[in-house]
Amino acid sequence: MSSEHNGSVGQPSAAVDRDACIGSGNCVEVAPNAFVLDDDGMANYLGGGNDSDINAASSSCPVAAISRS
Amino acid sequence: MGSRDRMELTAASERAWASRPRRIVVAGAGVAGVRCAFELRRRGFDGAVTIIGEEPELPYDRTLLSTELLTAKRELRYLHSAEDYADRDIDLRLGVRATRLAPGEVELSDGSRLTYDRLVVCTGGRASMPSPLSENGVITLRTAADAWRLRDVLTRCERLVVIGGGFIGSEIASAARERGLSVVMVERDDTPFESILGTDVGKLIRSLQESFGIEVRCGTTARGIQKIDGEYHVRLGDGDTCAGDAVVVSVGMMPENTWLSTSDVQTADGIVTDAYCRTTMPGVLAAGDCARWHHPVYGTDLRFEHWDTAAKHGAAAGRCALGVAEPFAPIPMFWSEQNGSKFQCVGRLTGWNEVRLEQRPGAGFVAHYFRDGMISATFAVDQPEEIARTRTRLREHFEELLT
Repeated sequence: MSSEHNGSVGQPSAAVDRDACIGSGNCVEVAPNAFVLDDDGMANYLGGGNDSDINAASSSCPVAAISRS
Repeated sequence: MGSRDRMELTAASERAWASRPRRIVVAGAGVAGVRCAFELRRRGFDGAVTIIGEEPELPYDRTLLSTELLTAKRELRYLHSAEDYADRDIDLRLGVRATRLAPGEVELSDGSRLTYDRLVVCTGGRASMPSPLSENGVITLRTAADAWRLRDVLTRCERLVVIGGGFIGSEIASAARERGLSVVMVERDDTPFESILGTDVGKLIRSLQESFGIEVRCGTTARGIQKIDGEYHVRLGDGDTCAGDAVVVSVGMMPENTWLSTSDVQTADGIVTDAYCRTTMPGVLAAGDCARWHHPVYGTDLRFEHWDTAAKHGAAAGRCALGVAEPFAPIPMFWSEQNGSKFQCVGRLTGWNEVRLEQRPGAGFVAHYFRDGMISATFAVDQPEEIARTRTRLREHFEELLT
């Protein structure tokens, strides 16, 4: 039983769909080292963060705007 | 924090809550139930986890049912794949619902029984259908099956009547307009959303809706529906009638807690819990749309019907089921999509006594709601940065009060 997915080998990465983003701030709350809300109030991926940060951010997003890339 | 944050417990129930759970049952496979189960595993719980879900589909994103599913831009979006549940050893039982609760045991609709050390009730709600409106063929929207049926109706009809101008009703009206139907929306308030957002904001929303081509009939209610030769005639309180090939009733939901009526779980427009998601029955917790919990910052019992709150509530109930002493104190948040505009709200829209409205020509508007000079909520159309600003201020305030 694994607690999180195993991502691809190497540096994890994520993308935010800005059309879908509603600026809930959930990703910033669960993974503050990987995501930030910009001046427009939308989520931005900063780079960095480990697999579990990105998975947590992705599953916390109410509009499924965060995908691994 | 106030004295209402925690249930008053007898010594026996104190012991029951202090015991280490081995079997956790989650009743309800909406976002609250699913988040709860995943949180249990994320926290390393290695006992049995079972989710009971009434609908046959894998748990899905309910917010799309009134928007992109109706416009056929998107199909059902599952919260997780079947493998995600299997990988985590979460036993997902679909197509059955909980029918009766006894201490330590839940009875299911297929006649089977499940024992539990902790039960987390996330049974959500059902769409309200006032009996004078329940004419054959009239649609309510809550489940995926409802949404598919409504979408099918939208492809065949030309004129839709939507009864209820709340967020779901407005989204349905907007989706139907996008599909080219003529749409009449009947709203009880004199202005849409007047009772929660105030008259000035309500008027702006109404003009947005009218600019989409929705005919907004305010200040009246539907009194009855008659189907004559395939056409629905909706009788209004103001004496008028409006006609359509289809009618949707979207007048809110009822928390699904009737199955608990023979148990010791107290209900009062929702399942009553303390700030730690604990009901009045030892070992039984509740979260999501069906739960009325004591919000430690607002100091009052609240029940929300918002996706994001339900998701966080489910996760919080999972932690509480494992004995983590962390009160559930979310900043309320919701959003709505209507004809390409994003409506967003953060904070609490009750008890405000001042609203400051800023209109941005061609770029939506923002309304800040204050209670005795202190910001309580912000509602914005296409102004996400204003939402972020208010959330930051509210978070600071929450943190101050919770520490």
